[in-house]
Amino acid sequence: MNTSLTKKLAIYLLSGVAVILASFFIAVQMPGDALDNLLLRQEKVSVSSYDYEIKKIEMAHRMGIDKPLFYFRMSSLAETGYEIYFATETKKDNYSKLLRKYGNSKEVYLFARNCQYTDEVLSGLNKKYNSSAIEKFSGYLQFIQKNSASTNMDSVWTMTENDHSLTEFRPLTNMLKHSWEKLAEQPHSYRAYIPAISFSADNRFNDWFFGGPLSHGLIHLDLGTSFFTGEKITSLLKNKIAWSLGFSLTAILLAFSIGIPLAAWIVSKKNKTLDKFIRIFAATGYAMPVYLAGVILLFLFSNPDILNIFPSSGVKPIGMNDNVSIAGKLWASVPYLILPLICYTFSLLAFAVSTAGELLQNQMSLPYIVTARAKGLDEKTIVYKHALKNVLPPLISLLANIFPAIIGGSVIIETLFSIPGMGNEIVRACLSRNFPLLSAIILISGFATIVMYALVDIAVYRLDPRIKPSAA
Amino acid sequence: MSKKVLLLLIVLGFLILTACHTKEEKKYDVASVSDSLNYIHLPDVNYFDKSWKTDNTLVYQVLQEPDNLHPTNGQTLMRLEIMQYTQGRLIATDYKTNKLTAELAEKLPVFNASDSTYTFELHKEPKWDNGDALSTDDIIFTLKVYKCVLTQNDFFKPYLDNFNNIILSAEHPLEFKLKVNKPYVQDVAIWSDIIILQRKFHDPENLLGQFGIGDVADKNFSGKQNQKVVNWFKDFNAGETGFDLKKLSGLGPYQVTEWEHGQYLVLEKKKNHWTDNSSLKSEKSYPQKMIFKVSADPNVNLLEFKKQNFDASTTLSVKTLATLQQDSMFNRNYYSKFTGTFNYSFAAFNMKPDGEKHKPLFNDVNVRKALAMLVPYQQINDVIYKGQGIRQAGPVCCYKYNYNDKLKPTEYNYEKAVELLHSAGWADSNNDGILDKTIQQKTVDFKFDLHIYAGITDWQDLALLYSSALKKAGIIMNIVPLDVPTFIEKARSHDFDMLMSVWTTGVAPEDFTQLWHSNSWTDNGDNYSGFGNAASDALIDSIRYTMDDDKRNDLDKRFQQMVADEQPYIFLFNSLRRVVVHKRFGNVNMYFERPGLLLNTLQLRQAANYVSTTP
Repeated sequence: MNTSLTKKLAIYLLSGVAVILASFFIAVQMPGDALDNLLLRQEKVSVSSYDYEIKKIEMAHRMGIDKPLFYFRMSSLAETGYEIYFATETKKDNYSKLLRKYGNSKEVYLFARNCQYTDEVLSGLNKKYNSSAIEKFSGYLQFIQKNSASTNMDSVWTMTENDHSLTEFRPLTNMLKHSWEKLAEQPHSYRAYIPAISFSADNRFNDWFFGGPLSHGLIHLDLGTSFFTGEKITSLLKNKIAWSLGFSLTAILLAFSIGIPLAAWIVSKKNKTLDKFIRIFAATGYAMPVYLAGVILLFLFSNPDILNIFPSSGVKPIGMNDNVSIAGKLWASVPYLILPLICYTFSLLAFAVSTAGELLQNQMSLPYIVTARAKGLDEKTIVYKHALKNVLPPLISLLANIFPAIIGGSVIIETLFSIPGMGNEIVRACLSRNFPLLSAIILISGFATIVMYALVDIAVYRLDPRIKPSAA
Repeated sequence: MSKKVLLLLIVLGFLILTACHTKEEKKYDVASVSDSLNYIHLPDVNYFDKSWKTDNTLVYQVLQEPDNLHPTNGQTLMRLEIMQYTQGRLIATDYKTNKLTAELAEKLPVFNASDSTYTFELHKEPKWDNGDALSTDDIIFTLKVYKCVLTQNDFFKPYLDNFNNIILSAEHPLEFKLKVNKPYVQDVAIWSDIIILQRKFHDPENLLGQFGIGDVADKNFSGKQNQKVVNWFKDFNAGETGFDLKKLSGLGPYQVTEWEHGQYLVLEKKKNHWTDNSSLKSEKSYPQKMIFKVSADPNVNLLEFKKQNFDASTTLSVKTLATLQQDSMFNRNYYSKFTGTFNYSFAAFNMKPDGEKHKPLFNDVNVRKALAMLVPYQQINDVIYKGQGIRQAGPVCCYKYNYNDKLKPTEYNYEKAVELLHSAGWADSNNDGILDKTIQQKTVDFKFDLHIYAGITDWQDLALLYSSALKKAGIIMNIVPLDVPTFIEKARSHDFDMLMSVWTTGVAPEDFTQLWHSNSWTDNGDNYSGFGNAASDALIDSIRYTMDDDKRNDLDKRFQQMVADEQPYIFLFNSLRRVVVHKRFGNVNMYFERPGLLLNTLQLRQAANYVSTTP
């Protein structure tokens, strides 16, 4: 294998890994909102119920969310990754402060958990009895939770023990005091300052990639489950990918197959007015927002007041009979596809015409063209047979760069024309904070872009005579 | 630039301008509830245009698809609207009289004070899709599922607390007595929201048969220990029950035959449905097919109506319908009206935030009042509702019989609002143009998120107008559009600062439990803002069980005053419904009750009976 190809393959591989990691880090943005939502929806646990935090921890464990994120984890010797067990930021913060001060992870964890347990018991009691004693003890507990890392707790234990109104809370006080004493007994604060790298084969990335409690894993083409419909994302996106890719690829094909010959024709004609017109067209094509282009198209070609030629939305007639053949269905869909396709193609065509025109103009002043002219070849032959060949490789290379922009544009076009594609699904996933679905879409789009780059590279290898020999 | 190019550009510009041109100035056609008691009947026109379609398929424009079609666990109004055509209920509302009427029951139940029961008798004719007749077994199963602690319909359960048993009659197999703890104002009305489920279809093994109605509602329900029962509920609550078309069996005249998510939903009329032979016109269903087409973009909607691709709608944006009503061709093809509703829009404050994710910005009633005074009501009314919006002052729609007319809607008052904010400790201490205050030893800027429904133009415009008015007062409001299920989940789990929504109410007596009882906040119900204390809860409980109308009205009014004083919501407007129906359909009635139109009653007119005309 030659070096150039190896380099390219390495770049694709690295890009693939980057896409997978980016997709994974979006998919795991679950704790917080999503975990709460799942608890409310699936378990019907009230946020205000005293065992909410316990249930949340149990669910996190069941779903494997409490596992380390990746194989390697940078931390200090004192850290254990138990922060996940503390549901609120204040509790997590307090736990971290205690760890930094005392360093003995097990004892710190037990003390913080006991504080959390006491808090849950008090919340439960508070809902039922609402007594001033509960309120008072809650106040003490809040003080303990906030200040245990900075204040000597002895005075607090003495105050609570001497307060006769809090006799009923003696067992809870003793439990807290006991775990505090164990914590303060053998502090190893130095542990918080020694960096450590821990390795764990059982982690969330491993589950996501190779399979775990939530899915069979990316390696088995399982992209997880949608939060809201409970549907498998793979089956949810199957048809949508076809619509989006179908539109994108057709638009690219149309833009380049019309744009390049058009640019060549303009260059061969040497018509300044035509050239100016094309420049205006290209500038408009770039500048006009896709949504505006779509609305203008609709008002021009789907409007009974002007021209009512095309349908305004959807991709096929509603309720089409199942007995209709595939060809019949396709034919019936054609009118629905034209306006969105024009919208997809519009800016791409502007890009293709202007870029190809620019590249061809540059070629026309090069020595080999001058020689061709001197030989008496006509302008048409010079442009089509000689100049065009040389501008194709850079043009095709640019194609790969604009592919992500096409995917971006599809979000607006699909929403406007009600196309059941991935762009529409991206909007829905964002609005519903459906992270697994969003991550899957990013993964697919990312890989589609990499494949496009690969195809472009292969095409350039085949077209550019200067690259071919070096590769060989 | 050549002359030809210039000419082309001019022609293009002219075409665009022509497309956007409004043709004739016309006053908006608004029918308020006071115009007619309960509905507006529109007589058929005496022509049938050649361009009109003659197929008996009705295309209904909707903004969003339903969250699901689950028989018990759905949340959106869209779901309820579709259920109305696909499912059956014991009781329904007669939209013409706005009174309750029997649907699957023979007649309205009678309350027997001696044994605290309501006696129901089932209609003989209703049949399930497999040919089985509706039975009391189905009613018992339905009540068990709705009341069971394992069913994920917590928001609905308070309405069913009162039902404690069903007693069957040995002599009359279609009769049953519903035993209640004590008479409650919505004992009968609530059955108009309960979808009757077929026991054999959902629970062929009769797993729930071993439990009583009281057992399933108990928090320590013994079924929780029975893995089979737990699994049954897991399957029942799962998404599939609300999405899989095979599981959407019901007693209604229509069945869902196609659901292209995000696109459309098709309902087809069942053959030989029992209502076909009904003598009541209101019970009959005429369209063979009803297509609920999701279309949210106002430009697309405008064009689709111009092209007559949609037959009906109740959710066009005010601006779109106002524009359409100025087009003579549209008026020739469609009936259209802005009609009054029993709905009201509001912005809810999170009065009891967690203090971490959501800062305690709205705990002080003066701050809430100040924010209510900063809403540019007049501007909103002029820009969004074309001057037709009616201000709302409290938690009961201003058209309802029990509305407290002593309440006055809050008016825009910038100076007073700033004064109230200053008195509550909010000031721009660091001169960055944003109000701030020290809360729990931290300086907090007055910045918050407003949740709104995504994709609905009117909400977006309203939020933008409010946001810009707040900015003048040094308050930053970030608008967060969310899809409906996420919006509701966040609201119920108190994960918001402020949200804007609408409550759709009806003519039935009020039960304030769902929206205002403090239990409905702790149990993640629909008391989003956290309003409530012992006094308000006691008043709500009294209202629930006061059967005397006059006494209950007095209590209702006291409660409305209580809510208005606390300002948990900014009460905005009584919403206008935007109703459009194609004139190729006859028997058009526009109702003030939701959903505003009964699609099944729209009858395709026979083109042959009219002289075909073209304008």
